[in-house]
Amino acid sequence: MEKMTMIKANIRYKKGSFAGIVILMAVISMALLSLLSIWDNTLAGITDAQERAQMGDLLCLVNKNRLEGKLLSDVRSHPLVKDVKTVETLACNKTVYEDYEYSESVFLQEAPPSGRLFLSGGAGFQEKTPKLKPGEIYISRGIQTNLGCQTGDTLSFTFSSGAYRFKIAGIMEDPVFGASVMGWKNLFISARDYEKIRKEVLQADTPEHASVPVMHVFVYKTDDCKLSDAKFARQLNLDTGLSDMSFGSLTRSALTNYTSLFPKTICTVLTVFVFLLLAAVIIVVCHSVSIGIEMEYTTLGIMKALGFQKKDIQMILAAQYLLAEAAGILLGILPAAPLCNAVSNVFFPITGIVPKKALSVEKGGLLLLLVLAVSVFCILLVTQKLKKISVITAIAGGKKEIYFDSRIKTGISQKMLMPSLAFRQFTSNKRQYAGMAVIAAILVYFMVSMMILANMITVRSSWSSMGILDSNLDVILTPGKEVSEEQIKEIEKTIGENGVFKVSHKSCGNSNFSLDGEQIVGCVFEEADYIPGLLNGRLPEYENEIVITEIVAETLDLKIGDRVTIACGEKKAEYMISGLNQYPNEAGMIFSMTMEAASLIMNPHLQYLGYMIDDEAQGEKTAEILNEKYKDLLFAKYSNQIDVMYQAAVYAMMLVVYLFSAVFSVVVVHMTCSRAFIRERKDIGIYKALGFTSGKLRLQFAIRFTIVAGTGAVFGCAAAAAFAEKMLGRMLRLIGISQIDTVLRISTILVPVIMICVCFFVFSYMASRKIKRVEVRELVAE
Amino acid sequence: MKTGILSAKEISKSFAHNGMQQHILSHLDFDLYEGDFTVVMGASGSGKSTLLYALSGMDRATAGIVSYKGKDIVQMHEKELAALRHTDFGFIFQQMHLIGNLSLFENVAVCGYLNKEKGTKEVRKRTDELLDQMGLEQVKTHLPSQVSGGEQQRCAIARAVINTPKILFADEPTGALNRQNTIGVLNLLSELNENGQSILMVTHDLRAALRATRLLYLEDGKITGELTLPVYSSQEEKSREAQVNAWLASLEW
Repeated sequence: MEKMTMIKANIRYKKGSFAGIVILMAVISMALLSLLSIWDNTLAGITDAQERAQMGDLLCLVNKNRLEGKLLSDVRSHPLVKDVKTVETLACNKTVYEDYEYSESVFLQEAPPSGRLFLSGGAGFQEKTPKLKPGEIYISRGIQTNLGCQTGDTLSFTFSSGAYRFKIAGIMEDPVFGASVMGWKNLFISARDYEKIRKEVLQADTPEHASVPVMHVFVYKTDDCKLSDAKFARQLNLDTGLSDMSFGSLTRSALTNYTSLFPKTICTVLTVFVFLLLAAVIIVVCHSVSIGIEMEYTTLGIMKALGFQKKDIQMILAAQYLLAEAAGILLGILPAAPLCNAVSNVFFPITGIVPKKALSVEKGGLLLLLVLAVSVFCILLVTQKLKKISVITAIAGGKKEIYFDSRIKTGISQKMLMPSLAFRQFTSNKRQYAGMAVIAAILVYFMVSMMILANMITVRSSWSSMGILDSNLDVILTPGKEVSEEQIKEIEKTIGENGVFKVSHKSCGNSNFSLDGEQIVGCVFEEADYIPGLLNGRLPEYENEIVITEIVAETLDLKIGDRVTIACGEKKAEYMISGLNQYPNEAGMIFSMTMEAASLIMNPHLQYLGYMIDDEAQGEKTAEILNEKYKDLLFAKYSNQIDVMYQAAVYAMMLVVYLFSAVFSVVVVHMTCSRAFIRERKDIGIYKALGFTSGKLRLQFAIRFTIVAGTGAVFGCAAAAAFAEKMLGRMLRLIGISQIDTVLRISTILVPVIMICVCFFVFSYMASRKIKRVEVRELVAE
Repeated sequence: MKTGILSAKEISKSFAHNGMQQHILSHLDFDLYEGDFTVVMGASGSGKSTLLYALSGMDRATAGIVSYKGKDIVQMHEKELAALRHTDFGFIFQQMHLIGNLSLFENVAVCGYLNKEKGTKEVRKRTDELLDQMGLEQVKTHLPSQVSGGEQQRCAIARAVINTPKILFADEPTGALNRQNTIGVLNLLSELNENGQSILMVTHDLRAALRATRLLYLEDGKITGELTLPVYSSQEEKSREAQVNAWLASLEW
């Protein structure tokens, strides 16, 4: 009972400080729970969609003529295979929406009877899926994002038999290729349209160019198969050659990974940020406990004199902070559910999946309990110094505050009176501001990191170092049309007539290969010089050399000099790894080879040409000229902007980080300011008695806190210089970038530093308004 | 004929305590004259400190007028009061109240810096002179916690006079000092007064009261007695002490 009385009294006495902790913990628990829930809901949404579509554990895209015969029966009879389902599709390489040509393959297929249409904004599903009429099409959310098309718009698909136009009748759930990050897309038409196109395409095909239907082969593992999806796919391929015969092979977990790539990256970055803030809050709490013990030396000593033991006082202190933290956590849980609901659909345009809307109570609860446990442990550590409290000293009035000469003592200047006094206050009592400086450092560290990330995304010069193929004029050669070297020279001559340009890359695009039995995408470049982002080793010089990404090297345990067998269909060849690169295509799970090397196992055709035009004003015009002049041969598009989606994601993350920083600044500044006010109440009175106005004293307070923010900011910037590159590299591995080159501009440092200093200045000025309310006599009368 | 420098008319001061109004000063009239060393005495709780705070503008009277240079300081805004404190009024506290993280030199100079009419060099020179005068030149770089109570109070006096105030207010300046330091501080105040400094001091220390040229006795918030004395001289201390004792006895001190 006596402990409860003390706890209640302490909370009442220090309600400002506890209110700060409650707010900080509320923000953290809300953020953690929301991020965890968003991530869980995204995954659950994907899994649900996959279950509804009865998606197999492995999907292989195989030309129908290759699948017929022994291969399918081998797969069906494999001991690890429970079932095999196939869906026939027609692959189209020329999809046009208005003036825009989609550069990847799409698969037209009959709309599945169980397919569900989204409500607007992914708010759910329509109750009934209307049967498609002739000329109508259902598209996935991903291609809607990629093309920017709407229901009612028209899409055109060109096959050997001609172009077919379809009116978009709705957006259909597609857990296979429905995410915007997936290149390939499924599109759904009526059975009648499908049969019609199929018939006409097969009739129009020439012996040289035969379009055969592409079978989507879904393979299901047996219930007792304990292998991971990747190992299952590898084993199945080794035993049957299914993947080798496919031009595309993806496991269910790989599809889940691609679909959730964006939310995963953003949630990871923000979760790291929130954990760092959590660490900062624990530091603040411990600091608050430690300073509190010093400030309340007399009270604590008297408590000891009254018979309270060290462990009793420890318990009281831990309990009161625990109460504040627990209250904050509970307070944070309340808005987490509506917040989670409100933002859960934010990734819908990217994932094309309706997420669940549940709060991850169990996982979140466990995590938050862990947070409380760590916090209590830290408080118990800090409160060890309670044993040093002497009852005699306490009864004699406690320890008087004694200042010592600071090593960084500067003079008091008349011209800079307030700043110099503020600096003295800071240097005389550095410990009091340590927690706040740590918070400022963490906030600045993250803000600088976000600025670096934004620079990387928006500054073209950094793209090549990240392995991004950097071109602003992209030319897609019409599939099936052979393009000679002379024709390419002629195209480049036309580009040259409109201004200076350089060739960025020429490639055959991505194809699916088997590398030592593992399914992996390979990109075939015309020449080795076009292979991007070389990190180690060298580019291929001989026809039997390839370059793999660092991520592939780590995943498959490969290194430079290793020999690997690469298969494409029935052809195989041995290659040596000549170098490691980074290439964010396919989330980094990709290797690169030259056309010369690829010709050992396939018949590569040049398909993509990338150019960098110096004169931006000429870009659009050049693309128009090319499209007009070489109408049947190519489609050219000019774009000088990075994918809007990436930009939006980075700016959204920056916004969240900046908002959090502002909230943390206001709370931490308020907490420290209140404590400093109690501590310096007498000094404030003396200053007032000497003729300082409240305005000047508030300014001094604000300058002092700005100095603290500036000091923290210096450490934050130093930490960013030392660790941001590594941290971002770790985070960006998720999207295939293993190493980054930091793009540092003055604004990268200045914007966060100014932001944190301004926040601290404004908030401390506001928090110090109490100075105005106190009378001199009240402060100085003894 | 003495020239009035500060006057109070009908000032009252009351505080609310547990819902009850406590009247500390009640319709009190008071005049302070230029060059006087005025000492207010009275028993504990008589309201002498409250009077000092009200007259010096540290606190506002509940009613009445405190007139200085034709202006009522009760009605002054915070900025005007602040200006008054660093130009015309100096204040010495019983507990010294030096800023703990500033050296003795800085404690004095900070006050001087507030006066924009003087440049930095002039303030620093004046600070050095004052600290020399107070016998603090050896410890001027020390922090308050590193010097004795007497040295702290001498520093507080230097701080109070750095801007050559028209009036020096002192609230029990020797209350926290030992005998030797008390004498030192009182000598300094007498010296300042001899040089023309007007001083208003409240005390219940007889030794301090002996330095006055005008003694006032405060009882229950009203001035009930007044004694005029010649300028202090240590040779006449005994007779002066007897005179003051007799006066105090007549007031039932």
